[in-house]
Amino acid sequence: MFAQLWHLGRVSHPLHQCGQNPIGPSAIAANGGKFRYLVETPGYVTPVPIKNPKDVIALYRKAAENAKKAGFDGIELHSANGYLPHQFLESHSNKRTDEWGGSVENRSRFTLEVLKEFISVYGDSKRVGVKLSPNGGYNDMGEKTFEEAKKLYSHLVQEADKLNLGYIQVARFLPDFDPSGRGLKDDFLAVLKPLVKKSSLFVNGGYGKDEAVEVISKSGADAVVIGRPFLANPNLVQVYEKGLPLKQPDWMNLYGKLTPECKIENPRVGYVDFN
Amino acid sequence: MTLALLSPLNVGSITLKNRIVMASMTRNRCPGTYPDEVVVKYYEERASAGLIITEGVLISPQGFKYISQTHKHNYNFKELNGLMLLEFGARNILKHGRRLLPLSMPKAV
Repeated sequence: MFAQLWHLGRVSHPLHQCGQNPIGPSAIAANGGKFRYLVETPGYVTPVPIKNPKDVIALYRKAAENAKKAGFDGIELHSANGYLPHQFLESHSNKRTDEWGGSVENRSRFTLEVLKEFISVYGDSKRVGVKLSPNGGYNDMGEKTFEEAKKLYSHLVQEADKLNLGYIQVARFLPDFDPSGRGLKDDFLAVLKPLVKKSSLFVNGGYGKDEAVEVISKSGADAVVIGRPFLANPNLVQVYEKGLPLKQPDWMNLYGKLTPECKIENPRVGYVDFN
Repeated sequence: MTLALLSPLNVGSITLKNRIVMASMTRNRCPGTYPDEVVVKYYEERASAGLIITEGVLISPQGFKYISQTHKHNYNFKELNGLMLLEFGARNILKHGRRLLPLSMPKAV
């Protein structure tokens, strides 16, 4: 079991954190901003630029130490879907003029430095993974052109692979994860697969069973990361193995039903009632 | 055909029993930021996955969209979890989930 370590960066909201503004690489707000428990669409706010990214990297290190202490087999850096490390990666959300912004090398620095900290904490690079979403989309991400994105993610994946990670997880384009329509629809797996030599390559993004089989047997992925089918099918492996029918998730209870006091009415419903 | 998914995969010293990895998914079931026995049960039930990646665990207090600002801490359910889930909940998950560990972890923790 790997713990996924996460920092929201600019896509948090002051109303959810005692009036404090979120932080980000640069003072650039994401477009959009619908918050589940805030009325209407308050919008994303302009983040406070991080003075010294090493301070935030120190927080990642602390979380990694706690994960190790807690006994997790390993940790994954969430460097996808528009959260903080991803905000450093892309040129539109990172306009820094120091060593953390500008060139592809500089924009990749934050993700790579956090990964190095993780490795140093676990003492075994194979206990560290990273999740990337080169197509962008979610949380207003995505480089303008395939060429730009290809250059960025090729560099990042090559450097991450040199660290001999346990795995590099690459999410593909999913229309559901691209509410604003800015995501790139290109096939990054074909671009990145040859660059992953030492780490395992995990793929993610709405793979059904047949596609999952195919991406492993034909496209060279080592494993498939599957989300939604696990919601209502805790025994998913057996379901696939025996060809059993897939149960449908209880979407109304994906995040639990809230009482007026903002407590989850019954956390078990739609969560642990699928057997 | 399914064999491609069911064959083991070595990731360093860890052997994944199969190549079906459970993705990290926000489920908003940690009131007060603490994962409890219900959360443990949720992960235990999915232990046949080759590897489980937990829901995102925030590394420091931050607000998010999965809790109202009227909440007593004004924080998202996970925002303190960077420390709390890891310090308390995960221990709980691992303690109760010890029997599932061989699936993802051949060596004793």
